[in-house]
Amino acid sequence: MMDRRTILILVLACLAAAGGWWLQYRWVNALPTQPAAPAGTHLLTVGDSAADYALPDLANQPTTLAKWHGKVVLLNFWATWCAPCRAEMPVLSRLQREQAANGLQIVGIAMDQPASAAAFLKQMPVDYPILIGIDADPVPTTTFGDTAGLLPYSVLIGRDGRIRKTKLGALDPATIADWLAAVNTTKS
Amino acid sequence: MPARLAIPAQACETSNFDKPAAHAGTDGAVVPMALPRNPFSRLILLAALLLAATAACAQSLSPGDGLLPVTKAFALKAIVDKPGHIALHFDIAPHYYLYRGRIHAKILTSGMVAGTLDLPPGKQEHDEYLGDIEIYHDTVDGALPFTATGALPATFKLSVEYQGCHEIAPKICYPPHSETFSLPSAGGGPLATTDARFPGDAPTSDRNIGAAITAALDAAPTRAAPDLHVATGATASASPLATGLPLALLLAFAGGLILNLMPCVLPVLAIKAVGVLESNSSRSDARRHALAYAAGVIATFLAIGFAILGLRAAGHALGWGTQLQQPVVVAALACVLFAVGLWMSGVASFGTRLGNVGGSLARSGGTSGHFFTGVLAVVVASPCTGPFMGVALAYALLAPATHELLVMLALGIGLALPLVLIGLIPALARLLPKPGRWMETLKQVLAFPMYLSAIWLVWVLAHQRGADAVALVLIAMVLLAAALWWHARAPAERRLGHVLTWVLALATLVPLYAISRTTPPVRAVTAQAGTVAFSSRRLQQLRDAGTPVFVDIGADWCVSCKANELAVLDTQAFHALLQRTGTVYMQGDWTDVDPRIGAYLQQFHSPGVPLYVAYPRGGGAGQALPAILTAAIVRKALEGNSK
Repeated sequence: MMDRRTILILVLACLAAAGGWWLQYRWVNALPTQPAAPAGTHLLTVGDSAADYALPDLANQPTTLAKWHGKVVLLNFWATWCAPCRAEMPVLSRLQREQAANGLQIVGIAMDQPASAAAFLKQMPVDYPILIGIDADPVPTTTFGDTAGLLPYSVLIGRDGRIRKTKLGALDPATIADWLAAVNTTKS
Repeated sequence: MPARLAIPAQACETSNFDKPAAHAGTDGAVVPMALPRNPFSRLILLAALLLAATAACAQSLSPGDGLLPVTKAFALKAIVDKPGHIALHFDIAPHYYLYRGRIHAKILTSGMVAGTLDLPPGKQEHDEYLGDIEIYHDTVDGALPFTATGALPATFKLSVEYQGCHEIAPKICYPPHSETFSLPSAGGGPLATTDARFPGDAPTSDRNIGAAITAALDAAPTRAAPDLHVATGATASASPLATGLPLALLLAFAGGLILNLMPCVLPVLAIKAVGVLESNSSRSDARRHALAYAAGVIATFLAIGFAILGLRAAGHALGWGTQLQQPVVVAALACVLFAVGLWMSGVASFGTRLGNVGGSLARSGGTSGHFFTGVLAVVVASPCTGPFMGVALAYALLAPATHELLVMLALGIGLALPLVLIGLIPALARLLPKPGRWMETLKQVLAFPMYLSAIWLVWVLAHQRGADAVALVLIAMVLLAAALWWHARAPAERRLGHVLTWVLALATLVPLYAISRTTPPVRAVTAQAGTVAFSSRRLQQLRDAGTPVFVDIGADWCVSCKANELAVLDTQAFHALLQRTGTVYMQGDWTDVDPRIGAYLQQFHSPGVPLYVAYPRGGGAGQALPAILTAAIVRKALEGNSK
């Protein structure tokens, strides 16, 4: 009943179905475009240098990203009230330990009160430094392109201090692998 | 689209469709088609497949799955519903939740003091860091008492902060968000006196605010858990899984069988009628065609089943017929039906100019043609929800994977069965009239229901996207007609002719793309006399007041809904019944994507529209009515309610 032609058509049908499914999935899952930032806000986008950006650390000492110049810096915006953020922090901490030798530096930016962040870190320490972003104006999430302030949000900065990639939502293994590839290619 | 479902040819029994240019109307008989052998026809076939595929998966998408702006994800309203008392109401979109502990309210106007925010208990969750927390889904009603330390100003400012998250991929949290309301101090009614600002005879003075607030809290109606349940309707319907697999399979089979009789399958019935008649040609052909058709129907249902599983794994909610919420799908389907109509009228012929190819190939081609008739039947049937089908689908959407696929299989078997029986049982086939010249006439007559179906879809599109989209789809149809006309007319051997056909066919996609970019027109809320537009808040208010309510959720593309309107809901008798029982008629429109209505459908585990719910007098749980209404069912529901 089935000859080559029919099989070919059926295979194409399956491909079409998969393609349709994928398109629909992308269409529906497309994240909303971020709302416009307030007028006059200086935004940093992919390609811009973030080396001069500074925030206070937990001891309220201003820290500039240039401190990690020459390393690949992964900014991870989080808050204690953000369950998906907290879920990915142990993963990031392990990633820091594993990839430190490759020149990766993760920097957590807490969009939270310093006391809340410190209390959380005391209970669940991470192996990377934390800066406090809640009091900065404009808010750091906005500066780095997450104008809606949604968390978690991550930004990859190359060894040259320029922004390479951004990601809204938790970093999945595929994205991490992709970003690590960027780490390795920029090393050479 | 079933390109060349059947083409006229000279001899029925030999499937002789490789003869060049056998034109409609010359031979008086139809034979099974071959798979189109030239690229253009294949393109059409593939386009149809893609449509079927997107339709199959769009089927199972809930409206508005992208991340919503914070004020849409958590829609907050605040009113002063009685003196000294603010009512807060959140409508939370599906898959979003609010943290109970992160809702704070304060009054910004000096001289006004807010009491303690009263919130109902939420769903208990254990958070490894935050410990036991409570979260809210669907709706939340809170209460905030307030008082003035001095003279009460006419208006005051209220600030409400809240924070919540999206619980399926992409899992994200919104930052704390504040909304400020300007409220009239004496919203719900006049204050009794400026001294006794609270109900409950609380001793109030500037020095005794604390006591006043406490008293106010006691007096304030606390909207606690039971009320919340009533509001969400969660108690109104049992889990569809209670149906059980055997019953669900039975219902799915019956539903599929009855789907053959539903009005939206009418265009496919026309195609099928031709198919049945042509299968008179020979026993083995008839059997093969019937099985190919059944395979097409069942494969499509299984494809939908797998798509539902995939999307469910990705955390999407599901529905039946929701692909018609996408204007581009409606427009493409309209074009497909139009093209089928043209073919049946004999204006266009798909792939009649074939080279000389052996009979075995031809036979298998005929099989594919019937297979895709089956695919089309399912795609076109999706605007209909037949009796029994709703229960079976609701079960399938929640059941384990194998059970879900079995239900889909049963639906497919049900839909395919009548034609399969005709194909397999010679005695049944013999009851059909002998083929002859009249069949060509019949085919041409059946083209007209196709055109009418296309008009129906254009009408749906007009409601979704207005006059611009209608013009665009009509342009697409004209281009399609031009492509088909040129294809039939151009000399086969000229390359240029083929190129032009392709250009015209691709040009058809341009207006379709333009339709996908259109935005919905501003919809005037057309509240007909005696009806109320659907709103969960209004519904809750009515039920709090004990008023019986009849909720009707429909859509322009929902044929079953229109049938019910014609037969029952738009009749004098129904409106007289509403008046007699004092029932409020609340209508919701799901023609376009609407997360609020999607959420309401989910509460009743309804896979799609129509959904009819009768709420009794006195605020009891709502009762969902069958998808196909009769005057008796509605009368029983409403008269039972009003007692």
